[in-house]
Amino acid sequence: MLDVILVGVVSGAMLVLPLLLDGLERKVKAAIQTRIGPPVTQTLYDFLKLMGKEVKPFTGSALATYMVLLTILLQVSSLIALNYFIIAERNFQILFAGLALFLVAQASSAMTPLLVPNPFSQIGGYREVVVSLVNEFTMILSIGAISFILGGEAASPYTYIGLLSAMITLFITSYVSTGRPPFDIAEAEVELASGIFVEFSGPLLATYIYAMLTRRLLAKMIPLVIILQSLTSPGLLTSLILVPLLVVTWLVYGVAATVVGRTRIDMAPVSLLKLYIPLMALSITGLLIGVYHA
Amino acid sequence: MSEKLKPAKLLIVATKSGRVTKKYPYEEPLVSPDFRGLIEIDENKCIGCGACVNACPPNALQLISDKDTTVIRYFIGRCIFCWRCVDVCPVGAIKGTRKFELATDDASDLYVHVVHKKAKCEACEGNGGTQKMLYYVVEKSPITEEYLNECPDCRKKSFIESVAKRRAGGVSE
Amino acid sequence: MLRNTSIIDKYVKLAESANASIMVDGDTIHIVAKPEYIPGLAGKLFNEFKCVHRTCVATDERPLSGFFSLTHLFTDDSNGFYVALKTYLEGDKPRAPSIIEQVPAADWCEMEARDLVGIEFEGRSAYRLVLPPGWPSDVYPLRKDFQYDKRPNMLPVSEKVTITEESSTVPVGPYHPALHEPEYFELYVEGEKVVDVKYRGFHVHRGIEKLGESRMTYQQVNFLAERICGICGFEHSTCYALAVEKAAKLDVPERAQFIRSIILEVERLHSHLLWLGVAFHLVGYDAGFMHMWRIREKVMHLSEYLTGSRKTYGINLVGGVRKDINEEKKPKILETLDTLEKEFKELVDIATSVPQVKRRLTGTGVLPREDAVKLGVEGPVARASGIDRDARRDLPYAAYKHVSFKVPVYTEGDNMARTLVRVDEVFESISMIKQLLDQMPKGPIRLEEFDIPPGKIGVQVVEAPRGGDIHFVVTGEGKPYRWRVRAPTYNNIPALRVMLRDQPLADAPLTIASIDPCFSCTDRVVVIKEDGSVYKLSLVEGVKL
Repeated sequence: MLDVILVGVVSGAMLVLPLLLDGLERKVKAAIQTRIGPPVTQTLYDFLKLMGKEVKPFTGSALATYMVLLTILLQVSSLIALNYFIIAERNFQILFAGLALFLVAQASSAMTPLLVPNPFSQIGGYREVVVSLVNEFTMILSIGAISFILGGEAASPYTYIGLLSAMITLFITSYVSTGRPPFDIAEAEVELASGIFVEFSGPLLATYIYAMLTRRLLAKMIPLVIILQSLTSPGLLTSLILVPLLVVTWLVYGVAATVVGRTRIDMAPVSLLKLYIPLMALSITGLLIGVYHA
Repeated sequence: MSEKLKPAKLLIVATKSGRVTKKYPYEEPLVSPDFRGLIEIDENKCIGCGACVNACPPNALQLISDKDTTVIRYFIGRCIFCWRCVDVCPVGAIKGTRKFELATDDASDLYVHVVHKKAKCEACEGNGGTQKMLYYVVEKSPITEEYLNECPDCRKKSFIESVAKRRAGGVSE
Repeated sequence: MLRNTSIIDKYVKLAESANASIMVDGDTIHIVAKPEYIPGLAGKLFNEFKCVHRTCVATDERPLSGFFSLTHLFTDDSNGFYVALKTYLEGDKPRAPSIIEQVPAADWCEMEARDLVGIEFEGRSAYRLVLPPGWPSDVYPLRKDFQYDKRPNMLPVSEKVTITEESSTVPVGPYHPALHEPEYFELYVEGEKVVDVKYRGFHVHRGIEKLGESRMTYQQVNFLAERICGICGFEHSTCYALAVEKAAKLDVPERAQFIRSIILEVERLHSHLLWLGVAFHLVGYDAGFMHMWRIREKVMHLSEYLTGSRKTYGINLVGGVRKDINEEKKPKILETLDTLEKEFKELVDIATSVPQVKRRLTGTGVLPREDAVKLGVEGPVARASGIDRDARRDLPYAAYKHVSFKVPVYTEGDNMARTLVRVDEVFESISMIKQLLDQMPKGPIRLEEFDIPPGKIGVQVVEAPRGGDIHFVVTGEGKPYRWRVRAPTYNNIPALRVMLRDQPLADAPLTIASIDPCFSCTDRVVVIKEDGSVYKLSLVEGVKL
């Protein structure tokens, strides 16, 4: 019983992390660009200000609002499931349920701009779907490979190479799914006049941005949880180790995003596949060799 | 491999430069000594000749005359801070400053008026240039009292009359 | 010089073949012909003499001679001559033959002459280019009987974005985050591929040419010319001053010309650094944008130190300059240039190694050489497509005959080539400023007393950061009688149609930005001040090639 309350409390506290960490990332990005940048609480202020504005309906706004709220619901459930996994008990079914909820939230968040009949929104949505298609599929593959290796008894050096390669793939897919440069082509491309955000305003925009930032939080949590679960036992301590690691990962991703440009929609899937296919091939061969040796 | 990591060299460049943002207005603005800002007209030196009005490209300086006064009106809102007026003023009455923080919510703040009395013509009771312009001219080249207090048209008439009197005994009507 | 006379003889023969009169005045060759001979002469000038068509000027000369006149301005780059091909047109509804069969680059300037002075062109389709759609059709702003502050009655016209069945339309503009100035591109896309593009510009007409002819004096027009553009203003005012000095045959002190050249190069530095920052921003590399503009800030400080203002320097006058570059300023300039060169080299090195930047710039927005020649593109756009043209070397003006510099020419014609041309030009400019500072002679910086006789013609081309800018001045009484400005972006925009076709949509903003568009320069011709109506403009007709 105590565990469940602890899970609830920790999840509630983590709900405000996306906004604060985004502010911190903007500060670090500004430092790299030799500026002072906005204060760390800026994203929080923006969120509160937008929530206080009037609601402006447009064609498709009802559906879009529904999808955004669904996305947030799925993401919060995923967060709770992951927290339960690290605090309460190491039940792998709960972990996979959390992952599945995250991936469905990705799908619903990619669908939202496609429901808005505005050409910029449609083009942005299409781009996001194309990238997600390649990325999320690879994420599932890599998590599958990792869990297979970790769950089995094969301990030959080839399996460790396979494990390492799968972990690297997992971190790369986690970076790509955060929607940062070089893969922020859905919203930041200049000719799209803000792409997927173009019709959103007021509270709808605030919730959509919050969904985006929570997606970033979850995308970083997943690889860290998979690493931590083999090193620590269930309890609050793991959470206390997890949060600083999250902050560090978030900032590292932010720094990496600042020093690169933005890719183009036709180059994105090709460059991603050129990266993922060798890594996953290495991982799967390592796995198979390990199984063969066992 | 180092080719791939070159983008990260930007971090080194960033650390070398630090943060370049200036915290203006909580800090002094960064203007050089040659910066061209607002102009100031010295009322005591100005003679109301209107050379600055002729030279001003956007017509920020205007000469407004009525029966007794001539006013040089400087509208800061139109000024492009080119300092042509500073160049052409014959008495050096216009001084350039480095002020540029001129925003205000009251448009009448942006008007500067320099008022001059017009010189009255004794002959025709009309008005000529400003009083100060006459004193300026007298300083540069002395004229007799008769011509000094007449407007240019009357002056022309008196001159022709006096020459005619000397040469031909008068002007025929 | 023998070489010159043989070339002039060729022009004399050309003029005689068309029963035209010819006069050589300094480096300008004036040919006056009857209207029916104009297309033939223009064709020969373009094809045989390999002249570049710069612009055409329509003037209302009815107060002077009773006729309208149309002048086509060419430059013979390989020999350093200006060729002004003039014809007189009769009547109140003048007609002139069009030369777009021989010289396709003359398309826009003829339509501008039709809109503003009312000359009908025979042998081509006509469309409204410059004036807004609701403008009354028989009111011609540049005619002398039209007062500059008159406002005709206009009905606001509202138009919608064109929707076609084959492809979807992506409207870019007039207000769009990709653009810095208002213009309107309609991109027709199929999926992610752009199949066609239409352009509608001239939203920022300010009536500058009319203003220069009506209430400004010679010295005041310098300041007006500087405000044609925010980025390349100084070269406009220099070009105007040089044109008037050429018309009045003034002997400007050498020191003034050196100072003008130095400040022109400083302006080129700031413009190219600005463009590089914007290009990085458009590919998403914001850190490059911030760093490039941090480096550019040093150039802005330098400009303020030398001229008194960060932009719109205001030091040009007819007859010289107003502010001197003393000996004590030299060490600071050299120190700034050295730091600038080092930091710029380092940053370009880092930025071009970012894989996304390299891949998005290479191979996109290609402009083949034949199209570039036909459309008469200018500046880095031309030099990136293999055309070796630079007005500083071909038609030397100010102090450029005293410096030696390379003109970078690339042949690929894609966005990367245009970037590299600008990067190379930055290094060349830095070396040029050092040479100029070294060789600056002593002396006065201004002509104090001079006289400008009316009725003289002066044409001058100045190499702006975006290409060749041409000013044409006919002197009048105390103010210009006719002043025509043709900015370089004017000729580069029609090239966009070739560059954007069949390219992915994601490259569109980068390609549009790669010609370094300066729409304020392009739109400066004559109209009245805006009367406050808001238009939703789309395209009525496309730009004809």
